[in-house]
Amino acid sequence: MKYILYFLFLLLAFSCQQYDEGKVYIQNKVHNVKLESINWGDYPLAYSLIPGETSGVYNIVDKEGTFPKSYVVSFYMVRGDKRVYLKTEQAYQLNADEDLTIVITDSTVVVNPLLY
Amino acid sequence: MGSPEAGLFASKFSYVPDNICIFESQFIPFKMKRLLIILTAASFFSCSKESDYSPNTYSSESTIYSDSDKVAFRQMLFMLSPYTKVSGEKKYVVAPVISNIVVKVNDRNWGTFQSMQIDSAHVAKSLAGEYYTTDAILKYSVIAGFQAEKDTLTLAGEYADLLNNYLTLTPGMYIIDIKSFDITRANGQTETVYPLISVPLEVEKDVSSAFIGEFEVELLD
Repeated sequence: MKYILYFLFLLLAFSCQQYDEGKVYIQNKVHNVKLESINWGDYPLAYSLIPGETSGVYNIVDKEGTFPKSYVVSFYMVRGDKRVYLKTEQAYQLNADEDLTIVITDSTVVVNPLLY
Repeated sequence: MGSPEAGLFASKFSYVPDNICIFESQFIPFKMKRLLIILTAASFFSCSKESDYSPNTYSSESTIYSDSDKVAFRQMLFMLSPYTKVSGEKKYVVAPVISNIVVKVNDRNWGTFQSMQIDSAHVAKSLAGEYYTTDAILKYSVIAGFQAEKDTLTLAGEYADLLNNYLTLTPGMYIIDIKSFDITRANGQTETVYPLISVPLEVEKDVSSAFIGEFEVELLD
């Protein structure tokens, strides 16, 4: 019985690794269009943002040492029934225990992967 | 059948039928069983921070682009017939093509176009002033679909402009202006002409294109 207890204590001790945390927000400041399906790397930040709207906080918790994280933002820009898939040229970096607010504006440099 | 101890344990945590024995062993005391259960549960749930619920999570597969079935107004068609007057008589200009035709809709840029080519080698023409001309009416057909102002878009705002302006001629009345075009003289030089053509266009529902007219434009020396 003791061995089972030791095993479980060890399991508990080693399975609880240290984690770092960061928070990401994204804001749409592009005129007259919605941004949909907004991803920062593989992290889905928001489903849809109208102009001026900021997403809720997206908590990223990952194993110690995996920060800083740096990814480009991809999204659909939507107006009515028309949409275009875009990625930011710039990558946005999130450090451990920091907040990152990504603001997509009219002057944000973007690329359409179809054209490259 | 379960032992009385197992029955007691089961009744504290959940309903377990009498004939099902959970975690029963003659070699492990009851208190130890509870401790083992708690530790096992703790090892499962204590490190689940990474899967925190987020109200913004969604399946990327659920967002699938689908085009609309609605018929949208895509293009306007018109014809230009530039002419010059010789002794009061119209002589129509012969050139392979009319280029840089600037079209505006409600004073917003619609695009810059080129007419369809004419096989001028097979047109009986003569020199009249600065142009090759012919007596027969020569019509240069233009198909003007909306164009983005820039070929290469790099800013989010430019893409927003594209989406806001692209195919936005919903049913209603519009003013079409043909602001200018370029035509080639007999000497090979290009002249820019400002024809001052302004016509109304009524876009009807479920119509994708419209013919806005034939325009004769006098070229003044």
